[in-house]
Amino acid sequence: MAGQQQHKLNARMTDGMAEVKLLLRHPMETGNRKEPSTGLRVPRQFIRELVCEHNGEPVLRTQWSWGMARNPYLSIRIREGRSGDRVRVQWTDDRGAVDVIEAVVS
Amino acid sequence: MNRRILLRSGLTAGQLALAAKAGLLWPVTVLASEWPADAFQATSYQEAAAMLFRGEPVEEGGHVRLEAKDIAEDGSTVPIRVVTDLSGPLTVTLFSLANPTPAVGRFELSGALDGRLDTRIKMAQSGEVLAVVRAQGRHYGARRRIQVSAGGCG
Repeated sequence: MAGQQQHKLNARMTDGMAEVKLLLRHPMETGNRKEPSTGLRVPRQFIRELVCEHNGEPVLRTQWSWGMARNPYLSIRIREGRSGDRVRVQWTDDRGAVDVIEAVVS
Repeated sequence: MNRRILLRSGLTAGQLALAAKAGLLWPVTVLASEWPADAFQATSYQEAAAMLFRGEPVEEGGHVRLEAKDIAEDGSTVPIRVVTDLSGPLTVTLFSLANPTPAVGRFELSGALDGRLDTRIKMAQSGEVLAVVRAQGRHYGARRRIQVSAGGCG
């Protein structure tokens, strides 16, 4: 993903809960799109699975298709979250690429 | 044995399935679902729902609210919010009914989360978005029509 913008993970206390916001940089290609300049079909490429952990405990697991938005966005709220807690998100795309991002609740 | 201990034990989905077959786990504890390839490739909602919900009915008209703008300017990224008063663990499944393959994603929320999920989906054209929440073995749904100015699956 060299040259692309960074993934973003933000976690902060809001209304007594830890609000987690995640923005990933990923093309999420459906496999239906054609490259305008060449007319060639762009191969399908998408994030398949993602896990979000709060202090080491999984709180969210997702399974996605190519129908999720390009540069996927996600926001959840952890009820018992506290300032200083650790949030970790790991994801895998359909080609097996694994990536991870971490944050501390502020 | 609860879900958290299971998840923390680092067993893969395959190992979990084997353990389940061997009777080592109660079926209800096997929650880390497999990626649902057949449902994601299904070309109709009915077909996808039959696989994802095993033919169980989806009750609409309560417990789940789907929030979105009436008009999406860019179908390749349509913000939606699912809100429910049901208590976790919850499984939220999202559909864009007018997409070539309507099932777009599944989200398994532990009881540590509140009942609100924000995300963004693709819409190939104007149509209905449907959110189905599974809680305590039942399925509750909410749908909303969204008009798309520019499609997102091209």
